[in-house]
Amino acid sequence: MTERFIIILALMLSIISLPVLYFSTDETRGIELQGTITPSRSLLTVIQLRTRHNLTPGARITARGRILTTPNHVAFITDDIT
Amino acid sequence: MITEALSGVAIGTIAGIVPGTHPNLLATLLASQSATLILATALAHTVTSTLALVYLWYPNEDTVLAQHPIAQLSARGLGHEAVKLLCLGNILGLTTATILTPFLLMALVVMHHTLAPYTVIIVTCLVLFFILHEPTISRKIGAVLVVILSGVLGHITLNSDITDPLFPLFTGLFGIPALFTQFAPRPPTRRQQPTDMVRPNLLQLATTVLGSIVSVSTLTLLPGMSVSQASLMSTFLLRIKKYTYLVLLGSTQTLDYYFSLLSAQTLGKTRNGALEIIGAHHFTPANQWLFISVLVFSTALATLATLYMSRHFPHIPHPRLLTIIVLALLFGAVLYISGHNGILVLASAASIGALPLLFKTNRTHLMSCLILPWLIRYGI
Repeated sequence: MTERFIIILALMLSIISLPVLYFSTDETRGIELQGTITPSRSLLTVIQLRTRHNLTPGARITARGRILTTPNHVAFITDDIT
Repeated sequence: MITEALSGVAIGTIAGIVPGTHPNLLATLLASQSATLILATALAHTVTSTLALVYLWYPNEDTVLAQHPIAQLSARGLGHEAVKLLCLGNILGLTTATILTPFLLMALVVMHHTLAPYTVIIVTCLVLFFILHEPTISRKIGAVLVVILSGVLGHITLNSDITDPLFPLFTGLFGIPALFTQFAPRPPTRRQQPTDMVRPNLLQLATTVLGSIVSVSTLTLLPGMSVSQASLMSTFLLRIKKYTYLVLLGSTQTLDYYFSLLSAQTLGKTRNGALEIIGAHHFTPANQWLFISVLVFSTALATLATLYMSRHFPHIPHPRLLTIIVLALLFGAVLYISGHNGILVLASAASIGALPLLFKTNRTHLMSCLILPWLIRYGI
């Protein structure tokens, strides 16, 4: 009985959480860069990443340094850059 | 999002059954990936590591206290019962907390403001309580020694320039000694049969789950306190019986992530290695339900996978060979992540981590590696 209860509960929970996951976007990947880069640390991070990975201006970068090169080449970062 | 969550569950499930691995190690390796993937991996690993604990006998810092009731069940060939009770706790704790989210968010903020001025006193009292909780004088003395040595090592390590110092520290204190116990002579393992004999009653379950919510939410606000200490507190206060204890432990494991998530969102503090790697600033009220859904989804899927694998868990013909391979992998990972100094920390931590086994004291005293440096920094 216990095992059946756990299985039913687990199936219900996975089904309930599916729509939330389907219709959401993980914003930790970053938001589109708009405006100027203000904090010096963030600017340094971007410069270091460009140097290290030979990125051209406009390449996509996350706050944790992940490079997301896309056909659009839009700069992406989270709240490090405002 | 679904693809990332599913990938995380797959990675965590596979890594969970590899003994000696820890969610924080996976989070470190996946640091450049999205928060969804890291969270799903950590949760799936937490749930499926139950199998390594029950069938391969490899506890980590969160599950060290479960050895005794699991040993009793395994000796009777009821390892599957232990897996079921841990899974029941995993899923029931998280479900109950998710339903109570609005209330718990408010409670966390109120408790934080109430406890904040007394944190140093409360943490000191808890350390003393855990020492005095040891049954004999010799064990109490052993516990004091473990607290001091692990605290000094933690203080030195955390103030050094080692990359990711917690990884060699925790691997040495908890992982390596647990792996070395595999080389000690053990009674022949009994063939495990899937059964449905242990059934906790509804009142016990409700008390256990609510007790775990109260203890984890309180200890989330206190630095250096681990899941096993939350379980120990609940066991002491609620007088939880031995098999229900496994439900409590399962519940505290998943609640640790849940409350760390709430804490990151409301107080800006992460109390969990995986969330620390992602970064507290990523958890905002706007994505609160998204990440709670990731927790629920990955826990649910990992629970189904764990129950299935428990029924079909293969007999490991050479457990000692597996131990040697895992030891070599951990050694290589420490060398790669933390360098040569990391190996020094690993060796020192492993020596101190073996002391609780020698003194037969509770291994939760090793968490002083975080508590003592914190007390030195903020209490003195």
